[in-house]
Amino acid sequence: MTHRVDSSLLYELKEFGAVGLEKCINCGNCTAICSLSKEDDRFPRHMIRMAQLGMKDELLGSQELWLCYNCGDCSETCPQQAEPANFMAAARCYAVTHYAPLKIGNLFCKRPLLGGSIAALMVLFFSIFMYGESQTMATEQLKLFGFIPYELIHTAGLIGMVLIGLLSVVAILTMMSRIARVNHLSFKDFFNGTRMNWIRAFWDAVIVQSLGQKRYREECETPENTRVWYFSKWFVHAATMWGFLGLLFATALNYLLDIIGVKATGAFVPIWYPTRLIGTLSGLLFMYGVSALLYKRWKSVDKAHSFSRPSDWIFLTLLWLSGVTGFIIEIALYLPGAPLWGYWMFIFHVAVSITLLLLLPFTKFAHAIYRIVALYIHALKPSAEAKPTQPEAAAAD
Amino acid sequence: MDNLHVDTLVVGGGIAGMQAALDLADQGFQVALVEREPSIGGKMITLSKVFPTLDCCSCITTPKMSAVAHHPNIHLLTYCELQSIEETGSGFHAAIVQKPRYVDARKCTGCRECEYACPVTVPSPFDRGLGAYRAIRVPFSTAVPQKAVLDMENCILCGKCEKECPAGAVDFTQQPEPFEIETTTIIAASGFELTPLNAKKEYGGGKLRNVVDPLMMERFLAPTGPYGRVLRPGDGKEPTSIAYVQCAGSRDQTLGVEYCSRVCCMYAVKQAMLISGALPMADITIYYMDIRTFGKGYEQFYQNAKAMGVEFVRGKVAAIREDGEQNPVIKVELTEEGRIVERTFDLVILSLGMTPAPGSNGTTSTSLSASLGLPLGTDKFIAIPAPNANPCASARPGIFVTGTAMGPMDIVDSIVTASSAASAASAYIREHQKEAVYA
Repeated sequence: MTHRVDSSLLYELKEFGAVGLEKCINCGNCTAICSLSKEDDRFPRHMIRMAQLGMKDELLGSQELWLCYNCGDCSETCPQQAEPANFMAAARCYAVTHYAPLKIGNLFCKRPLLGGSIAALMVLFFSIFMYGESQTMATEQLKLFGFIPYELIHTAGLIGMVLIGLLSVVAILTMMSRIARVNHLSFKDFFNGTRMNWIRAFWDAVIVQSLGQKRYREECETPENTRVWYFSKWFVHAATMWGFLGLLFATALNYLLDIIGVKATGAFVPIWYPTRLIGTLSGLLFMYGVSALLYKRWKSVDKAHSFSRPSDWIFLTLLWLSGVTGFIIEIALYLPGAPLWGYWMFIFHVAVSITLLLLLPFTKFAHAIYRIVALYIHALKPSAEAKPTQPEAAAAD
Repeated sequence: MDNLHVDTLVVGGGIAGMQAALDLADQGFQVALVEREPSIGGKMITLSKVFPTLDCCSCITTPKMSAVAHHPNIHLLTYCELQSIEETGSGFHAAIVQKPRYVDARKCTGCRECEYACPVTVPSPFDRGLGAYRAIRVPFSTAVPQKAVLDMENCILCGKCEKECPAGAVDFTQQPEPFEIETTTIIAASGFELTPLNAKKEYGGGKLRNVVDPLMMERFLAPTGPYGRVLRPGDGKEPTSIAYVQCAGSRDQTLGVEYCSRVCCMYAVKQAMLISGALPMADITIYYMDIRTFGKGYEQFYQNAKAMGVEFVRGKVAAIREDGEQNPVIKVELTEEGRIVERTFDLVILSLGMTPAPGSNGTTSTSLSASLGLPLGTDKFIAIPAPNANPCASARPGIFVTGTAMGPMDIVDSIVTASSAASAASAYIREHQKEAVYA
């Protein structure tokens, strides 16, 4: 196979924050200290070598990028302080901009001012748009969907979801085709073996690893670095993710209850009402996780949190704002009378949430989809040729 | 103690200090050699063989130690500590303290009767703690001077040595004795210490019993060593597989040691060769980031080791753990193959690097440079302002530096810089004397 060398790759990666890459002398310490790096998935040194040699296609065709959970062990022990963990994060950011269309990710990975401004302008635009469509502000009780028509929010949400779904499919296909090309695979190979085979891989990727955080929890925590369990890397991340999914679930359930006619969206419910309760508890978990993540990055508590890209900040800030505004709305709902700021907060909350969703394929948020794909491929271990059978392997030993 | 007036004060009695003292004394200058240990010889006297010639270390060092002790122009002052210096118009005024040996050095004949009588056994630093000696002892068999020294920290004051000593030399009442030396020049030869064995927690933090430092390995290999053979310290088993972990203390920014210590590749290669002789059936593997064999005859030495069957593997060992039988297990990426392996060995040697010798109280690494008022380089060794033009001159006129006090170097280079410092000091003294005459 011919390798195309992109001599500007190293410089390009530096723009994504891969500092110290030139210090790497390829000693292999990072790969050997990594608890996830195994015979078949060799990182980070392998990826760093690709970057140093300008092997752009190979780098973008490495699903190993997404197997790393950024525990920081490699950076803590790197004798040259070449920051391999930060390199992996930068390379992921680089991949995000290359997998999603039009390289829009560039704005959020490299340009803090421009990226931040675009996100802010989007929030502003959606706020003004919704204000333009707003109707009456009920004063005896907060009637949010009387203020902003329920249909408008639903339609906007659905259009947003479909748009993001399409973009994500394009991005996933781009990623898979890059991986396929580098590894001499065809698309069929991603579903090779029996149906059971890839269902099991899918189960492992989505349930065991993504929702259950198995490898993150079991292999990426070093006892010395974890002061208390609720501040450990995996738990803070899991809290954010579980909280987010819980909120999503509560919203979907709400919608379902509306469709089957149990409860109209926006109708007043007490705090113990199931959807409200799920939402509130998930929200608390979510707010804890996001705040802890922001705190860790702000204070640079360890190597893994010492290097942040604009994309990290924009993503976390949007998450945090959507969570906080949600809680303020909830407080307003239960306050006597109908405080006017409850309505303004609602507009802001919806605007932030739509922005967050629309930016999914271009910010740190994108890791949610790429990681699942990578974990799936990792679990399936597709190969172009048939693997040596057991007796042959034994004979080779 | 009487006060002395000399041309040069050499601080440190290792190979560099001894060589500098001898070179100056041979030219007719008066030299005072101050050593803080009870014997001169430094690190070199503890080594087995030198690279690249594989000559016996004792055979080179002991004659020099004797020559220093017997030279009419050298005042040998062992178990003494330099306190401070003061500039005078004509040179320096050095305050020294003679630490108490609790043995009258003028009476002691080195017969060792005290040592045989002493009931207290202490780990011997000369053997890197692998062997033991008594609380009162001649420090080691070839120590110079052959005088006993009592270590009060471990002494139980039973008085047996005092009774047994035929010369009546044991004196429990000795006190530190300050004295002064007037000198024209000073040569700093304070040497080095190994980077700590427990610095890297990934390597077991010094807790793995069969992970040793290279100076321990020298003692295993030296004819005067504690066991007279290579045994692993954990259980006394004869090792059949041995690994060297290169750059275990150098070129590692996480340890704050960014520089290459220059000797580790060569001593690892040398020890591997010696082990091949001592344990012909042993497998020896050296894990390295780069092999640096830059001296005369060094590359050939390395190639010889390869030809002898020593395995060289490129990859920085990332972690060492212990299995159930105290065998160290290393984890490394074989960077030339791109494979990650875990491999079990009987014995692992961490090729530790060099840091400046610590102060006598063990708390400060800059004691000599501080008492001499010398600035340090970024590597914490004594700074040499013009290494190309004046390779041994410190930042202060009249004070010269030699050997590993100025930076990591091997024995060959230590001796070269010793002669160089002696030569520079000699020129300085003559210039000074001329000025004194014409003034």
